[in-house]
Amino acid sequence: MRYDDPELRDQLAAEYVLGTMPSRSRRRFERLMADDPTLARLVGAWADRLTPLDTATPAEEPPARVWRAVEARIAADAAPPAFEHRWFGSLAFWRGLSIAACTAAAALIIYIAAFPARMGPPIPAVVAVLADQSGDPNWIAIAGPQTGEVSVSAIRPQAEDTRHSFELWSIAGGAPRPLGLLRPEAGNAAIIRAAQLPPPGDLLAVSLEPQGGSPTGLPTGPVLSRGKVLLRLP
Amino acid sequence: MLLSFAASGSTDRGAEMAALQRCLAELDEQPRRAILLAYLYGFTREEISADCAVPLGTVKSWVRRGLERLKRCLDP
Repeated sequence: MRYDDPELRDQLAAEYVLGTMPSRSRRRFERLMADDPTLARLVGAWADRLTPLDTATPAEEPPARVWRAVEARIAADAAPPAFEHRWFGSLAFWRGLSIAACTAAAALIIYIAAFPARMGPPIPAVVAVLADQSGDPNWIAIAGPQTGEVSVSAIRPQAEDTRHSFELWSIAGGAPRPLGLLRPEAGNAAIIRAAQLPPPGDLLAVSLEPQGGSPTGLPTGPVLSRGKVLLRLP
Repeated sequence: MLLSFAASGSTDRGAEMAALQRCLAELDEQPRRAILLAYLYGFTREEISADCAVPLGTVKSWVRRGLERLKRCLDP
């Protein structure tokens, strides 16, 4: 690929910021950028153009078709146990959300255009949903409680014995960095700094480690859950 | 799913947001959708292709054309 074509350079810078570059191209692009300040400036210019979108956060109300999928699933379960937030841990819900997203993105821009100056307390944004190997979501990262912080908590209680700990990892460009230990009880959040998160499209992962966390600074136990970072927080 | 915005820190931020909204609104629906799914929801090209039921090449072209037009609109 010819990296001296100005149009191509700008196009790659834009896709880098948008997060649509495949991970291998992304790593190659980052190496190029390290030795090419003008390329880095193109990336900075694109980040500036798109940054206003960072203050956009998804509202809590899911689209109607998501609710229909949830209702269908609940109806299909014979005598389901009463659980207030059943939909929250439901795979169908999260799958439905993903399917609905293509339609939702069209609706969302209309809403932006219609209510450009809407003020009010920000609604906590979902930063990532981590799912186990069977695809069931079991950890969630949301923005807050303070600006620049992210709360990571179990969606449902996680089985932990006294000899092990759950450890959260940032996996940016394939390289794991430890972010801290998580609490196994549902809703008991660990707070991490948003600046430590990998960029949108990269992964958060949870591994099972010796009590107190990995002694090596790298995951030593099995990776139990993983999920993509969805949002770039301001 | 709808979007809401946190109060912006300054009028500059408000003006930037207004410009970006105006320019996004000028894009064709599908490139705009692809750009928003990628930036706001972290979708890959492959995921956009699957969710919108179009070939990968179509998504690449939506994104490329959309970003080009967005830049022309934002940097007159």
